[in-house]
Amino acid sequence: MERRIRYAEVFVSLLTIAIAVLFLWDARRYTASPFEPVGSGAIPAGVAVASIVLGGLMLTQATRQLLAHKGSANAQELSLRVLGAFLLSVIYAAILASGWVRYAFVTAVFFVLAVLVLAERPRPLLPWTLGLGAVMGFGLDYVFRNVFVTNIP
Amino acid sequence: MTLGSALLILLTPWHLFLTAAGVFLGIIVGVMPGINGAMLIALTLPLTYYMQPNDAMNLLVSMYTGSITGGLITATLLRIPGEPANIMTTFDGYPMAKAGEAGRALGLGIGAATFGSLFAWVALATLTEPLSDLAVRFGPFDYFALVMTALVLIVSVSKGSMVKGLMSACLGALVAFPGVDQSTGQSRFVFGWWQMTSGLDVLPVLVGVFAIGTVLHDSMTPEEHADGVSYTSSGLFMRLSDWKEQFLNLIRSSAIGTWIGILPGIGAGVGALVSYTVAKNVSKTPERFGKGSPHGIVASEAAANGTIGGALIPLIAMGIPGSVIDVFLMGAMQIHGIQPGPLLFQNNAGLVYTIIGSCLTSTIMMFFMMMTMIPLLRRVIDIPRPLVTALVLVFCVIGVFAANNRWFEVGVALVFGVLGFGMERGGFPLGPFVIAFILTPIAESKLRSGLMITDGDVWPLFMQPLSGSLMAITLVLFLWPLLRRGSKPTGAGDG
Repeated sequence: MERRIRYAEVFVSLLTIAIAVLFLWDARRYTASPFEPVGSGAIPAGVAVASIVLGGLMLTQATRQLLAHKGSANAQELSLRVLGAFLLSVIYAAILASGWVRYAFVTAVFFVLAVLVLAERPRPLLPWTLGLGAVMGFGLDYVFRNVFVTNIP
Repeated sequence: MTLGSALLILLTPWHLFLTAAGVFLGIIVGVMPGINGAMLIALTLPLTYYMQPNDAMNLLVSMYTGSITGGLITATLLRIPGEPANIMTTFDGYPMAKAGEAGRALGLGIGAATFGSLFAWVALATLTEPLSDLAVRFGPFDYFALVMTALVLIVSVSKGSMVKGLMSACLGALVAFPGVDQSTGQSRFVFGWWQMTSGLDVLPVLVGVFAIGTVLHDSMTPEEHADGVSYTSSGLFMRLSDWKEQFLNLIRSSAIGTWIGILPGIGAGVGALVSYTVAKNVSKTPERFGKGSPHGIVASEAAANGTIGGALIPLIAMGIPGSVIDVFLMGAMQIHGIQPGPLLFQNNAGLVYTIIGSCLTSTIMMFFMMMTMIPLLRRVIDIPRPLVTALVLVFCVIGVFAANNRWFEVGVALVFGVLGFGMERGGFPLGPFVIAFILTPIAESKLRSGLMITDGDVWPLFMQPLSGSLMAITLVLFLWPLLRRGSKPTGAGDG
């Protein structure tokens, strides 16, 4: 548990530093004018520097603790389930964006698959899953097209 | 429009339907651990695109009221708090219910919640306009200093270390910068993505961090199952003797809740904690707290609900969110092109009175729903989590797309979902992130306006009475954790 928190700390720290470096690099392009002494880049650059310092602090702390406490991360199955659900969401969004398949069908299938991936024992949930999948797919399709008049695939 | 006419409109069938739907959904998510009011409001934001601003605010404020209160049922009957705001209620509600007084424990909780909400509503209805008039006179530096105080305050009271809170705030500020610079009209930090020319939209960022990130994170924590206690409706209505005995506690706790709500960025959880601690400290029988004390339930629930009205005061008067949920209300206003802030009263008085009126009607609706639906609501917790997670994911994807008909924003929501998940997993508070994301554009433009007025001289920020005082408070809040650590005896640990 402890190690997984540290990994998350490392991940967020690295992401923060990467984003901040990107902003700091881009901020050079925005110079101040005589009418506006600060310029478009100065404040973002300041926040980016603070982010790099804080990210560095957190990264050092987390890495030190990771090295000090060795052990294996447990509950790996749960992580895989969540990863699976997230990847399914990405695929679901990509298929919808492609416009190849109608919303109602993709959503119903996604819903059922997501529950199957997330549930430890999916069989007892099957009737509910199929029912809700149909509502989320075909029911929402009707609502979005006819009530909200949205241009869904 | 006046408050009276807004209330009359809110009593029409359509608005009563919106209030009932909002309170009902709020109570449901309040009961379910893992889903909270902020997430519900984030998921509802796309639908508000298709609504009138007044209708949208009526619905969202009702959800807010319901979500803070709903958790007291499971906190009392199952010792599972649906929301952080109800954690303190479990300490006394559950023991009382176990001792055969479930009805009375719930009655005290619902009565106190209603009283706390009504107390805060009076403050909201009376204080907002004068405060708004005052805020109109704020100079750019005053406003910048106020935003800085709000940001540092939320960082200092957030869970986890100060470094994590600050990192979260900095990250929120960074992602608020892309788009057209308000001061110069220059496009900046878009990195070649034309879709980002108008900046990152509020909706996909909030839905990503708060809905996708949180729901995925909660899927990784094992579901809680507790032995419930049997429930009878006996004692559900607070007796006159209870009202008399709890009167001072009700007033004190509601006042604490309202005040904590007014403080920027601090929500119901902290309000309930502070009020419970104060009630215990002033009680003649502190040893009964944690073992089924009616005072504990009343203190916790009155304060938690007091924060609702309290938190709306700075939002309406100054455009500063009083809690994380208020960030979503701010987002809803921005979706409709309404800029929250001191001029809201002058430019959109009807909307302001609708918000204030909704706070009252939703409290009354909440009271009746809670009193009549307890047996049904306690079963909500049995809904399997995978179903809820899948449901939320579908709503996130299609909701974000439907708002603007742009798949780019669905991608943004998924990317921010990963960020939100990582932050939740690593114990980074999400409050500073979303508040910084919303307030950074205001803070930046005010600071730059101030510097343009003073020809780049920063000293007036620290020398003017109001901005100087606020910056001093900000500095103390910022240094407080270091000072506290320094004053601790050696070996006391970090806490």
